[in-house]
Formats: sequence, structure tokens, C-alpha cells
Amino acid sequence: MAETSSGGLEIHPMDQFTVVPLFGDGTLQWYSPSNVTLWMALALLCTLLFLVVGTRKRAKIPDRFQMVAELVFMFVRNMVQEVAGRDALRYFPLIMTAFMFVMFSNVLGLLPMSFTTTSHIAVTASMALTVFISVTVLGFVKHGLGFLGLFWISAAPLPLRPVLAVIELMSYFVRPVSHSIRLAGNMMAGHAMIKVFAAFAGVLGVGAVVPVVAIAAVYALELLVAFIQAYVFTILTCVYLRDALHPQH
Amino acid sequence: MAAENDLAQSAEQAGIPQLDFSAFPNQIFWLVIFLVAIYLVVGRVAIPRIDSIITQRDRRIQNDLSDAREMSRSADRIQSEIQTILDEARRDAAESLAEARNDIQSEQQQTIEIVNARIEVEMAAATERIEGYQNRAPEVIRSVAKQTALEIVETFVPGRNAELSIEAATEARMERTEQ
Repeated sequence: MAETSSGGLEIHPMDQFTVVPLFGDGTLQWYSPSNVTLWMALALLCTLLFLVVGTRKRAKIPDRFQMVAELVFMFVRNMVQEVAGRDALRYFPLIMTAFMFVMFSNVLGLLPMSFTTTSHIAVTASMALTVFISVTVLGFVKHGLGFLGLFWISAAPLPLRPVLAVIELMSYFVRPVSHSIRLAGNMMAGHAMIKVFAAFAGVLGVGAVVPVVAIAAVYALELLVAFIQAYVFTILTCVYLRDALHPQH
Repeated sequence: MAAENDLAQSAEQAGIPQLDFSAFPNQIFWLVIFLVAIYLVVGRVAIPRIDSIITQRDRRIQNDLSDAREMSRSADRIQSEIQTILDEARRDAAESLAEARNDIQSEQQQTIEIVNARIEVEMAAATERIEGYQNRAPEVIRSVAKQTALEIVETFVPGRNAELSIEAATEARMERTEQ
């Protein structure tokens, strides 16, 4: 572990990310209910409260809960429509699902003692790969081999096109990597940083005020990052979807 | 497989739980479960509901707007009707005013004519009287002059019969005066 036992300063910034089973003797099977289960269930609960309970009155003049739910709904729907086009609205429920899951996981992860499911590459890579494979299959289903036109930049001079095609192809396959690592990395780094500051605060005595203030500042930043990364993950999904639906540049 | 285990080993040693591959199946399993669950909540319940709320609200707003436009149009219509009625009333008032003015004028005219007629009649009578006086005047003057002259002659020359000469003198004088 990355710790320094000497001098009483023990920092375990990464312990918060450990997957542990909730019950039993500590062995983790693929089906064991774990802290992953708990915090994903809380994300589901929050989605339910936010989108379903918040709108239960179906009011023409919304109260503040319904207003925020409608706001997020319109926000994501406009994003899908503007980035990926009107025909992408068919996939709006899927994209909304991804957004709600990532956003609530990110925000719930900021609670003290919590577990951030989206800080795990296993989770983000699964989602990113799902997006990647889905849009690739969709592109071929919609356009057949014409989907390969995505890599053949007809706006560029002819001699450059093969070179660009190689670059485009590479960047296409790097997409799921950047898509997933961006989210997991952002979540992991911020939370680890807060933990490190907290460990400093534990041994500094009166001087702890400095790391505490720093924690408050980083926490505010992390709150912003939690929303921004959910937004980024979603808008990138929309961009990939647009490429699948409209491969011609 | 061996390489994977080595990597997991070293990851555990480095203290990065994200690279603990033994926890991957568990996370992926629960991720799938909860993504499907969230999809059911979002796609089957939340989105249709919010969509219908927003659609109904938009429809309601459209209806209200078109109602408002209709009302505004009918208000305009009523306004123009009022304007028409006002114009008519104004025209009627102007007409009766003109009528009344004409009546008064013709009445005045009649009165003036009646009065003028009477004035003329009286003027004619007066003129006649004056003319009568004027016609009779030389006669009267003549007889008064003769009488007076006769009495004057009687006084100064008593017994002289000067009647004929006085008559002639008076006639001559009167003729000179009248010329």
C-alpha cells in the first residue's frame, strides 16, 4: 500500500475504492452484493426519486422538484437533438439512462464514506465499450460499408486521404479508451486528493485548518467536476452516435 | 492469464483497486443489473411522463394563446362597432342640429316678412296721408293768403272791393312759388 508508517502519517487515499462484499466472510464472487451494489442501488433510487417521484403530480405549473426534473430532461434531449440530430431522439432514453447513472454515481461518490462506482475503470470501460460497439454496429446496419466513409475525408486532397484514413481509424479505436479513462480518472483523482488532504489534517493539529480549507475548495471543484464529467460522457456518446447516423462529414 | 494475474498482483501492491481484476466481474454484473433497472425507470416511466407533461403544457399554452388572439380580435370588432354607432349618432345629431337651425331660420324669415308687410302697409297709408296733406296744402295756403290779404286791405282801405285783384295777385304769386 502507498503508505508511510513512520511518524504517524498514514495515507490510504485509494482504500476508498476497494470493492468489498457487504455480507459474508469477505470473499467476493461475481454475484456477491458489494458496496458496488449498494451505491448503484442508491443511484437507481435517486433517479427514481428525481425523475418519477418528483413528477408524480404531473402539474401544468410545476413545483420546484418537477421543474428541475423537466430541466434535466430538456437539457439532455436538446443535447441529443443538437449534437446527433433529430433521428437520434430514438436513442434519447438510452442516453438519458447513461446520464442519470453517471451523474448520480459521481455526486453520490462525493458523500463522505461513500463509494464511487464511476471511479472504476471496470464500470466506465464497460459503458464506453457498450457505446462503442453499439454505435459501430448501428453505423454498419444503417449505412453498410458506407459507414467506412467516416474515415475517408472527402474534403481533404486525394493524396492525403489514405494517411488521414489511418489517423481517423486509430482515433476511432482510441475513443472507448479516452471515453472511459477520462471519467474514471477524474473521479479517482479528485477523491484521492481529498483523502490525502484529510490525512494531512489528521496529523497537523491546529495547522489542520489549511488542509481543511483546501478540502472545502477541492470539494467545490469536485462537485463541478462530477456534473461536468457526466455531461462530457453523455455529449461524447451523442457525438459518437452522430458519426454512426451521419458518417458523411 | 498469468500476465493478468501478475498485473493484478502488482496493482494490488501499488494500491490501485481499480486495477484489481478479480473485482471486475462483480462490478460488471451489478452495472448491467442497475443500468437495466435505471433504463426501465427512465425509459418506461420518467421519459413518457415528462414528455406528456411538456406536450400537454405546450398544447395548453398554444390554446391559451389562440384564445387570447380570438378575444383580442373580437375586442377589436366590438371596438369598431362602437365606433360605427358613435359615428352614426354623431351624424344624426348633426342632422337634427341642421334641421333645427333651418326651422328657426325659416320661422325668422316668415316673421320678418310679416313684419315687413305690415310696415309696407303702414308706410303706404302714411305716404297717402302725407300726399293728401301735400295736395291740399296749396289750396289751404291760397285761401288763407286771400283771406289774410283781404282782411289786410279791408283794414287799411275800408270799403274797397279788392277781392278780384287780390285773387289774381295770389294766383300769380302761387304760380311763381310752385315753379
